[in-house]
Amino acid sequence: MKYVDASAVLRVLFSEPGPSVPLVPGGRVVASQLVEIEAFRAVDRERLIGSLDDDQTATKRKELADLLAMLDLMPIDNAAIEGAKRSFAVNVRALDAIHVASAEILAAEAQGDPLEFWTHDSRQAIAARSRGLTVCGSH
Amino acid sequence: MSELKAHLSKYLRMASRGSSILVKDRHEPIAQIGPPQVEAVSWRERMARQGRLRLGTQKWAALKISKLDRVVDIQASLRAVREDPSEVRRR
Repeated sequence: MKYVDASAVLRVLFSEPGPSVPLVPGGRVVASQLVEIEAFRAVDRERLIGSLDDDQTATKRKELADLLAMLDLMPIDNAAIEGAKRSFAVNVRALDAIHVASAEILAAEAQGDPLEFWTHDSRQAIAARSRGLTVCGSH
Repeated sequence: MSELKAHLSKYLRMASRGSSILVKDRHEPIAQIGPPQVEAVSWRERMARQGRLRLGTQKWAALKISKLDRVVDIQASLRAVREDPSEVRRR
Protein backbone atom coordinates (compact mmCIF):
# COMPACT_ATOMS: atom_id res chain seq x y z
CA MET A 1 0.00 0.00 0.00
CA LYS A 2 1.29 3.45 -0.88
CA TYR A 3 0.41 6.51 1.20
CA VAL A 4 0.82 9.76 -0.71
CA ASP A 5 1.04 13.31 0.55
CA ALA A 6 0.24 16.31 -1.66
CA SER A 7 3.78 16.56 -3.02
CA ALA A 8 3.52 13.02 -4.40
CA VAL A 9 0.11 13.76 -5.95
CA LEU A 10 1.35 16.98 -7.52
CA ARG A 11 4.45 15.29 -8.94
CA VAL A 12 2.15 12.96 -10.88
CA LEU A 13 -0.22 15.77 -11.87
CA PHE A 14 2.58 17.92 -13.28
CA SER A 15 4.65 15.03 -14.67
CA GLU A 16 7.66 16.17 -12.71
CA PRO A 17 10.95 14.35 -13.22
CA GLY A 18 12.31 12.10 -10.51
CA PRO A 19 10.90 9.15 -8.63
CA SER A 20 7.14 9.13 -8.30
CA VAL A 21 4.62 6.83 -6.70
CA PRO A 22 4.01 3.81 -8.96
CA LEU A 23 0.41 3.80 -10.16
CA VAL A 24 0.03 0.22 -11.30
CA PRO A 25 -2.96 -2.13 -11.54
CA GLY A 26 -3.62 -3.75 -8.20
CA GLY A 27 -1.54 -1.18 -6.36
CA ARG A 28 -3.50 0.54 -3.63
CA VAL A 29 -2.86 4.23 -3.06
CA VAL A 30 -4.24 5.96 0.01
CA ALA A 31 -4.08 9.49 1.40
CA SER A 32 -5.56 11.85 3.93
CA GLN A 33 -8.32 14.12 2.65
CA LEU A 34 -5.91 16.88 3.58
CA VAL A 35 -4.31 16.18 0.19
CA GLU A 36 -7.41 17.54 -1.53
CA ILE A 37 -7.03 20.92 0.13
CA GLU A 38 -3.26 21.18 -0.24
CA ALA A 39 -3.18 20.13 -3.89
CA PHE A 40 -5.98 22.46 -5.00
CA ARG A 41 -4.43 25.36 -3.08
CA ALA A 42 -1.07 24.76 -4.76
CA VAL A 43 -2.66 24.70 -8.24
CA ASP A 44 -4.53 27.91 -7.43
CA ARG A 45 -1.30 29.52 -6.33
CA GLU A 46 0.28 28.75 -9.69
CA ARG A 47 -2.61 30.61 -11.33
CA LEU A 48 -2.25 33.54 -8.93
CA ILE A 49 1.47 33.96 -9.67
CA GLY A 50 0.83 33.66 -13.39
CA SER A 51 2.44 30.29 -14.04
CA LEU A 52 -0.83 28.80 -15.28
CA ASP A 53 -3.38 30.50 -17.52
CA ASP A 54 -7.12 29.96 -17.14
CA ASP A 55 -7.22 27.09 -19.62
CA GLN A 56 -4.30 25.27 -17.99
CA THR A 57 -5.73 25.87 -14.53
CA ALA A 58 -9.10 24.44 -15.53
CA THR A 59 -7.41 21.42 -17.10
CA LYS A 60 -5.17 20.78 -14.11
CA ARG A 61 -8.08 21.16 -11.67
CA LYS A 62 -10.08 18.60 -13.66
CA GLU A 63 -7.15 16.19 -13.81
CA LEU A 64 -6.54 16.66 -10.09
CA ALA A 65 -10.18 15.87 -9.31
CA ASP A 66 -9.94 12.74 -11.48
CA LEU A 67 -6.75 11.65 -9.73
CA LEU A 68 -8.19 12.25 -6.26
CA ALA A 69 -11.27 10.19 -7.16
CA MET A 70 -8.95 7.23 -7.72
CA LEU A 71 -7.34 7.44 -4.27
CA ASP A 72 -8.71 5.95 -1.08
CA LEU A 73 -9.09 9.02 1.10
CA MET A 74 -9.16 9.04 4.88
CA PRO A 75 -11.04 11.88 6.59
CA ILE A 76 -9.31 13.93 9.26
CA ASP A 77 -11.22 12.27 12.08
CA ASN A 78 -10.69 12.27 15.84
CA ALA A 79 -8.17 9.43 15.63
CA ALA A 80 -6.05 11.35 13.13
CA ILE A 81 -6.20 14.49 15.24
CA GLU A 82 -5.23 12.58 18.39
CA GLY A 83 -2.30 11.01 16.54
CA ALA A 84 -1.17 14.36 15.19
CA LYS A 85 -1.26 15.85 18.70
CA ARG A 86 1.22 13.30 20.05
CA SER A 87 4.84 14.34 20.54
CA PHE A 88 7.32 13.88 17.73
CA ALA A 89 11.06 13.41 18.11
CA VAL A 90 11.59 16.25 15.63
CA ASN A 91 10.02 19.63 14.90
CA VAL A 92 6.94 18.95 12.78
CA ARG A 93 4.51 21.23 10.94
CA ALA A 94 0.86 20.72 11.85
CA LEU A 95 -0.17 19.51 8.39
CA ASP A 96 2.77 17.09 8.25
CA ALA A 97 1.66 15.68 11.60
CA ILE A 98 -1.81 15.00 10.19
CA HIS A 99 -0.32 13.09 7.25
CA VAL A 100 1.91 11.03 9.54
CA ALA A 101 -0.92 10.26 11.96
CA SER A 102 -3.21 9.24 9.09
CA ALA A 103 -0.55 6.94 7.65
CA GLU A 104 0.04 5.37 11.06
CA ILE A 105 -3.68 4.60 11.42
CA LEU A 106 -3.85 3.07 7.95
CA ALA A 107 -0.71 1.01 8.58
CA ALA A 108 -2.22 -0.34 11.79
CA GLU A 109 -5.50 -1.21 10.04
CA ALA A 110 -3.76 -2.89 7.11
CA GLN A 111 -1.84 -5.52 9.04
CA GLY A 112 0.21 -7.58 6.60
CA ASP A 113 0.10 -4.92 3.89
CA PRO A 114 3.24 -2.82 4.45
CA LEU A 115 2.81 0.90 3.99
CA GLU A 116 5.17 3.08 1.96
CA PHE A 117 4.94 6.80 2.70
CA TRP A 118 5.51 8.72 -0.56
CA THR A 119 6.57 12.34 -0.29
CA HIS A 120 8.95 14.70 -2.09
CA ASP A 121 8.99 17.19 0.78
CA SER A 122 12.07 16.80 2.98
CA ARG A 123 10.40 18.11 6.13
CA GLN A 124 7.45 15.81 5.64
CA ALA A 125 9.84 12.93 5.05
CA ILE A 126 11.70 13.60 8.29
CA ALA A 127 8.44 13.74 10.22
CA ALA A 128 7.31 10.40 8.80
CA ARG A 129 10.69 8.77 9.29
CA SER A 130 10.81 9.97 12.89
CA ARG A 131 7.76 7.84 13.60
CA GLY A 132 9.28 4.76 11.96
CA LEU A 133 7.41 4.91 8.64
CA THR A 134 9.08 3.70 5.44
CA VAL A 135 9.56 6.82 3.34
CA CYS A 136 9.93 6.81 -0.45
CA GLY A 137 10.56 9.56 -2.98
CA SER A 138 12.75 11.71 -0.78
CA HIS A 139 16.44 11.82 0.08
CA MET B 1 -38.98 -32.35 10.05
CA SER B 2 -41.39 -33.26 12.80
CA GLU B 3 -38.54 -33.32 15.32
CA LEU B 4 -37.50 -29.85 14.16
CA LYS B 5 -41.04 -28.49 14.45
CA ALA B 6 -41.40 -29.89 17.93
CA HIS B 7 -38.10 -28.49 19.21
CA LEU B 8 -37.40 -25.55 16.93
CA SER B 9 -36.20 -23.19 19.65
CA LYS B 10 -33.72 -25.82 20.93
CA TYR B 11 -32.23 -26.31 17.47
CA LEU B 12 -32.06 -22.58 16.82
CA ARG B 13 -30.21 -22.17 20.11
CA MET B 14 -27.75 -24.88 19.08
CA ALA B 15 -27.24 -23.22 15.71
CA SER B 16 -26.61 -19.85 17.33
CA ARG B 17 -23.83 -21.52 19.36
CA GLY B 18 -22.11 -22.80 16.25
CA SER B 19 -23.78 -26.15 15.54
CA SER B 20 -24.89 -27.02 12.05
CA ILE B 21 -28.20 -28.91 11.84
CA LEU B 22 -29.13 -30.82 8.73
CA VAL B 23 -32.92 -30.93 8.19
CA LYS B 24 -34.26 -34.04 6.44
CA ASP B 25 -37.69 -34.89 5.03
CA ARG B 26 -38.18 -38.64 4.74
CA HIS B 27 -34.42 -39.17 5.02
CA GLU B 28 -33.73 -36.65 2.26
CA PRO B 29 -31.67 -33.57 3.23
CA ILE B 30 -33.71 -30.45 2.42
CA ALA B 31 -32.14 -27.67 4.46
CA GLN B 32 -29.37 -26.76 6.84
CA ILE B 33 -29.51 -24.51 9.87
CA GLY B 34 -26.33 -22.98 11.19
CA PRO B 35 -24.78 -19.84 12.66
CA PRO B 36 -24.75 -16.76 10.42
CA GLN B 37 -21.75 -16.73 8.13
CA VAL B 38 -19.18 -14.16 9.07
CA GLU B 39 -18.58 -12.10 5.96
CA ALA B 40 -14.91 -11.77 5.18
CA VAL B 41 -14.25 -8.10 4.54
CA SER B 42 -10.97 -6.41 3.82
CA TRP B 43 -9.61 -3.72 6.10
CA ARG B 44 -10.49 -1.16 3.42
CA GLU B 45 -14.10 -2.27 3.23
CA ARG B 46 -14.34 -2.35 7.01
CA MET B 47 -13.02 1.22 7.29
CA ALA B 48 -15.31 2.36 4.49
CA ARG B 49 -18.36 0.88 6.22
CA GLN B 50 -17.34 2.69 9.40
CA GLY B 51 -17.12 5.97 7.48
CA ARG B 52 -13.36 6.11 8.06
CA LEU B 53 -12.24 5.74 4.45
CA ARG B 54 -13.63 6.99 1.12
CA LEU B 55 -12.80 4.32 -1.41
CA GLY B 56 -11.40 5.48 -4.72
CA THR B 57 -11.66 3.73 -8.05
CA GLN B 58 -7.90 2.92 -8.13
CA LYS B 59 -8.24 2.67 -11.93
CA TRP B 60 -4.87 4.10 -12.80
CA ALA B 61 -5.06 3.14 -16.47
CA ALA B 62 -7.86 5.68 -16.87
CA LEU B 63 -5.72 8.55 -15.60
CA LYS B 64 -4.98 11.17 -18.26
CA ILE B 65 -2.40 13.86 -17.48
CA SER B 66 -1.75 16.68 -19.96
CA LYS B 67 1.71 18.07 -20.65
CA LEU B 68 2.33 21.77 -20.04
CA ASP B 69 4.32 23.92 -22.44
CA ARG B 70 6.31 25.40 -19.56
CA VAL B 71 7.99 24.28 -16.36
CA VAL B 72 5.90 24.88 -13.25
CA ASP B 73 7.51 24.60 -9.82
CA ILE B 74 4.46 23.12 -8.18
CA GLN B 75 6.47 21.85 -5.22
CA ALA B 76 7.43 25.44 -4.39
CA SER B 77 3.77 26.36 -4.46
CA LEU B 78 2.94 23.48 -2.17
CA ARG B 79 5.63 24.59 0.26
CA ALA B 80 4.20 28.10 0.12
CA VAL B 81 0.63 27.05 0.86
CA ARG B 82 1.88 24.79 3.64
CA GLU B 83 4.08 27.38 5.24
CA ASP B 84 3.37 30.94 4.13
CA PRO B 85 0.53 31.57 1.70
CA SER B 86 0.80 35.32 2.33
CA GLU B 87 3.91 35.47 0.18
CA VAL B 88 1.75 35.16 -2.97
CA ARG B 89 1.71 38.50 -4.76
CA ARG B 90 -1.14 39.14 -7.17
CA ARG B 91 -0.21 40.43 -10.60
